[in-house]
Amino acid sequence: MNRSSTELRAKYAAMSRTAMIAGLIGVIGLVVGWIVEADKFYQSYIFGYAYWITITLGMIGWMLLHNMTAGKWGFTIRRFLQAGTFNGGFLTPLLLMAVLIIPIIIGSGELYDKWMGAHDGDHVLENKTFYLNEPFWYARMVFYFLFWIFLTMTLKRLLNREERTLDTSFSNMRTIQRLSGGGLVLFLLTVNFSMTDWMMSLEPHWFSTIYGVILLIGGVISAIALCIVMTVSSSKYAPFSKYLDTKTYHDLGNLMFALTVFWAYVSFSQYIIIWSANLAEEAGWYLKRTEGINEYIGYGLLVFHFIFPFLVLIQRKWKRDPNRLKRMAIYILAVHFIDIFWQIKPAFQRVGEASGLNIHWLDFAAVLGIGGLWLWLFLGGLANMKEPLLPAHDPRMKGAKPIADEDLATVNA
Amino acid sequence: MADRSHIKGSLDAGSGSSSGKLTPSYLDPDYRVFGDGMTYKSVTDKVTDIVLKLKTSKGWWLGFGISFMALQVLVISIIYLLIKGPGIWGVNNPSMWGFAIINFVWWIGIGHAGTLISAILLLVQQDWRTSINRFAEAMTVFAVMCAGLFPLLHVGRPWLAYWMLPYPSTMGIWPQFRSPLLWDVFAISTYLTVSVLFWYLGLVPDLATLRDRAVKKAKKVIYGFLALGWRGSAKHWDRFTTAYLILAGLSTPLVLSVHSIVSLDFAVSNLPGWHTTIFPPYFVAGAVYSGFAMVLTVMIPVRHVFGLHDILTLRHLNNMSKVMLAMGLVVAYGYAMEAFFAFYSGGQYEIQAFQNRVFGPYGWSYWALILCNVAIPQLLWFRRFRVTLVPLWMISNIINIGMWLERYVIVITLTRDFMTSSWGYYVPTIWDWSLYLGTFGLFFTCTFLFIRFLPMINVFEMRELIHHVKHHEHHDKAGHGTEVEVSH
Amino acid sequence: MSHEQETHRPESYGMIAEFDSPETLMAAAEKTRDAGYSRIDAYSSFPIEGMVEALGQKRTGLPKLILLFGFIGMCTGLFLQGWTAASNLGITIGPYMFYGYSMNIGGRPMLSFPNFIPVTFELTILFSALAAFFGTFILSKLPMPYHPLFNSERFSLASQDKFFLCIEARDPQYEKGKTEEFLEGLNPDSIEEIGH
Repeated sequence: MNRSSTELRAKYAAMSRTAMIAGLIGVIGLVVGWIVEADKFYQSYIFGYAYWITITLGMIGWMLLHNMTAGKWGFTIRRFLQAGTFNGGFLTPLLLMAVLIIPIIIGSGELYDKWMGAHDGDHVLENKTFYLNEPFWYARMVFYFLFWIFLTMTLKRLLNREERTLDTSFSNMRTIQRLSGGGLVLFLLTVNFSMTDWMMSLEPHWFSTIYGVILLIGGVISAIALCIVMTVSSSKYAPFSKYLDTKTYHDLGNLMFALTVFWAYVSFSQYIIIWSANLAEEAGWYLKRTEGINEYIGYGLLVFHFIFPFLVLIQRKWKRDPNRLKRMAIYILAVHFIDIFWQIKPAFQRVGEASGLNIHWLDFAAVLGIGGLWLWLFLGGLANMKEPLLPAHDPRMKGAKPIADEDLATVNA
Repeated sequence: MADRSHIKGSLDAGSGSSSGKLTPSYLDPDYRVFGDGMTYKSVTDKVTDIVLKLKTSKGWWLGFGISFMALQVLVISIIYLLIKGPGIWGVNNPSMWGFAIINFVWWIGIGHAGTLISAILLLVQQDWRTSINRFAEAMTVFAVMCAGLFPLLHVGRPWLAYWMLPYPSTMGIWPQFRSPLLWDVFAISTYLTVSVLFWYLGLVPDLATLRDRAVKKAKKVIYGFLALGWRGSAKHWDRFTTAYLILAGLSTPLVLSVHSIVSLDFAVSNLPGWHTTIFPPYFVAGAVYSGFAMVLTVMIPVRHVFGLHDILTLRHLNNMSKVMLAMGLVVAYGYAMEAFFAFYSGGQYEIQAFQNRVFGPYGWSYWALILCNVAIPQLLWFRRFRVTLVPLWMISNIINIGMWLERYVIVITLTRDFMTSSWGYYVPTIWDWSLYLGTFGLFFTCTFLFIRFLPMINVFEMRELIHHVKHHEHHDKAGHGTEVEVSH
Repeated sequence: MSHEQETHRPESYGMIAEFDSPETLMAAAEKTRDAGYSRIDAYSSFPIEGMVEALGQKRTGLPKLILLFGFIGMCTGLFLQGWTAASNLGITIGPYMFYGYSMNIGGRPMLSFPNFIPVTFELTILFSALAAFFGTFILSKLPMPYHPLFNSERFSLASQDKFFLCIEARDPQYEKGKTEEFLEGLNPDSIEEIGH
C-alpha cells in the first residue's frame, strides 16, 4: 500500500473541495443568522473565530519552535505548518483570518460595548482607556496581522532558500534560528495582547496575566493535533510512507501529551490563585463559569481535557500506533471546542443568570463556516504546493534519513 | 527500557550546524558529547581516578578551606540567632519577610536546574546531559538543604518546627491545609527526599565501580557498603532503569509543582504586586534560569581544574547557554506582563505597587534586575559568548545576582502596603548577610566533599553513551551503503 | 570444614564467561538461553537494552508497584486533609482517639478541593518515589554485602569495562564439564568456576 505523492495531492484537493462546500454551508448559516439574530451572531462568530485563530497561532508557534530545536517530528509537519499559516500565495489561512476579523470589527460596538460605550463613571474602566480605546484597538489589530504575516512569510522564504540551496558551503540556518528565536518572543507578546484585545476585554473588568498563555496552549495542542491527523492520513503515500517511523509518531504523541499536562498546569494555576484570593474584580469571571450548567462544563474540561487524555496518552501504545494517535488527535480537536466555548460564551452571561447553557446553533455554524474556509485554503495550499511535501533538502533533515522518491525528483528536474 | 534508536536524531538535534557545513554533528569537534577515542575503560579511569588516585590538590584544599570557614559563619549566625531570636534580623512590621524568604526562594531555584538536567533532559532523550547530570543532582540536594534552613529559622522557634507536620497532638488541632506555607512544607520535604533518592539511585552502580577499583581496604569497605552489593546483573539493571526513568518522570512534575507552590506563597495572598496569575510558570522559568547559571558558575572552574574538557565539551556549555537564554526570555516576558497588567487592571493599588517597584525607594533594585536578567544575558544570542569560558562564567554570575534581585524586588513590595501610615523601609542587618554568606559555606563545603569523594560524572551512563554512539556510527556506515545503492 | 556438611548444596556457585562487548554478551546470552539453560544471568557495567529478553526472563513488574503506591499516596493526602480540615470525625486507633478539627479559613468551603490539591499531589509523588527506590533494591535482594561472584578476581571488571555471562550451578542442566565445553563454544575471553 504505497501510493504516489500525486495521488496524495489529489486526495488533498478532494478534501479541500469538501471543506469548501462545508464552509459555504456554514457561511450561509452565518448570513441567515446575522439577518435573523444579529446580537447572537456576533457572540457565536467570535467563538468560532477564537477556535480557529488559536489553532492558526498555534501553528506559527510550532514553526518558530521547530526552527530552533530541529527534531525529526518537525520536518514531518513543516508543510502542514506552512500551509496552515502562510504558504506563498494570497489564498492562505492566515490571510483568511485577517479578512475574517472584519465581522468582529463591525460588531465591536455590541461585543465590546462595556468599554467601547460610555463608562458611566466607572473608574476602573476609565483607568483602562490608555489601552482599551477604539483607535488603538484597531491599530493593534493591523499590527498583529502585519507582524504574523511578515514573520511567516520571511521564514517561508528563508526556509525555501535553505532547502533549495544544494551548495553546502552556504547556509542561512543561523539567520533562521535567530529570526525564530527573536520572533518567538515578539510572537508571544502579540498573542498575549491579541487575546487580551479579542477575548479578555469581552469582560473588561477582569484581568489575568496568564490568560494569553492559556489560550495559546489550547491552540498549540490543537495545532499539533491537526498536524497529527494530517500526518497519519498522509502516511500511506509518498513521500511520507518512506520517511515516517514509530519514533516520529511517538514524539508527536509525547508533545501532545506534555502540552495537555501543561494546559492543565496553567489553567489550574490561574484557578487556584483567583479562587483562593476571592477578590471582587477577578472572581466574577470564574463565578459565571462555575454556575449552573457552566460548572459542569468546567468539571467536564478537567476530566476530558486533562484526566482522560492524560491517562490515554501516557501509554506508549497510544503514541506509537498511528491510528490510535489519530483518534486521540481528533478527540483533542473536539475538546478544544468545549474549552473555547467555556472560555468565551459565558462572557455574554451575567453573574447569577448563568444557569443556562449559552449555546446557539450559530456556534456550530461559525466553527463550520470559518473552519470550512480555513481547511479549504489549508488543504488546497498543500495540494498545489510547489515544494515537495517533505522538506527533504533541509540540511538538518538530510542527516536524519535519506529519501528518494518521485515527488522530489519532479521538483528538482 | 528507553528506546535508543533516536540516538542519532538527538545528537544531531540542537547542533543546528551553525557552521553551515553538512558534517554530521558527532564529527564536529565542537559538538561532540565526548572527546576522541573515549572507551569504556578510559572514561571509567578518568572519572574514578579523581576520587581514588589523584592526590588532593592544593586548589581543592584552598577551596575547601574557604568554604569551611564560611560554614563556620553559618554556625555562628545560627547560634546567635537561637540565643537572641529573629530580632537580630532586619525584618519588622510591615516587612515581615526579608532575607529569609529571598534566600529561600533563590536557593530552591538553584536546585531546580539539577532536576531539570537529570530528569527532564533524560525524558526528552538529550544525551548531552549525561556528563553533567550527576553534578547537577548533587547541587540540587545541597541547594535544597540551604534553602530549607531559611524557613526553618524564620519560624522563630525552629525546635518547634515539627508543629507544621500533621501529627495527632495533645493540642487537638492540625496544620492549616489551606495555607500555601503548609504546601511548602510538603513540597520542599518531598522534593528533598525525591532528589536524594534519585541521586543515590544513580550513584549505586558507580559506587560499585569505585568499590571494585579501590585499592585501599578502607575505601573498598566504605564504597562497598554504600554500593549495597550491586553486581550489575541484567535483572538489576532492568529494575534500575525502570525505576530511574519513572523517578525522572515523577521529578518532572515535582519540580514544576515545587516552585509553583513557592510562587503561590506570594500569589495566593491578596497583595498587589504579588497576586498575579503568571507567577507559577514565571517562577519556574526563573528557577531554571538561575539554576543553569549556578551549574555553569560551578562547572566552568571544575572543568578547568580537573581537565574534563573531553567530557564537558563546548557543546554542553553551548546547550546550557541556550536553555539559559530561553528561560531568560520567559522571565522577561513575565516582567513585561507584570508591568502591563498592573496598568491594565485599572486598580489604583496595582498601579501604585508597580510604580513603587520601579520608581520607589527601591527602584534601583528593579533596574539592576532588568540589567542583570534581561539586558546583559542577551549577549547569549551570540555563539561567541556561549562557548568562551570567561564571558560565559561572568554572565552566569550576573544572572545569579539578577535572580536574587528578582526575589528581593518581590519581597520588599511588603514595605509599602495599602496604608501610607504603615509604610516602612527594610534594611538587612549584618546577621542577615552573615547567614546568607554562611549558606554558601554549606553549599560549597558539600560540593567540595562531593567532588573529592564521589564520582562527579555519571560513569555508567557515559559508558552507555559510548556504546550507543559506537553502535550508531556502525549503523551509519551501513546507512550510507544503502544510499549509494539507491542513487545507482 | 564446612564443605563436608553441605552435602545437598552444589560445590560451586556457577561458571562465568567473560566477553568484551555488549554485542558478544548478548549473542552469548541468546545462545545459552536457546541451549536450554534457565538459571543464567548477565553482568555488565551499564544497562543493555533487551538483555532480560535475551536471557529468557520477564521484565520487571516494578511499574505496577509504583502505580499502586502512588494511588495510596493520593488517597492518604485526600483523606488526611478531608479528615483533619473538613470534619470533626473521631477515629480510634488502639487506646487513643483522634479527632478532626474543621475550621473556617477565610470563608472557604470546608472541603476546599482546590487548596487540597497541592498536598495531595506531593504525597502521590512522595509515595511513588519511595516505592520506586525501595522496590528496586528490595526486589533485587539488595543490600547483599556478600555474594559468591565477588570471590572472582576477574569479576571486579564487570563494573568497569568487561561483560560476564554466568550459568549457575543450580541450573538443572548444569554439569561442570559439559557447561564448560558449552561456554568454550561461545568464544569468551576467559572462563572461571566460582566457588561459594
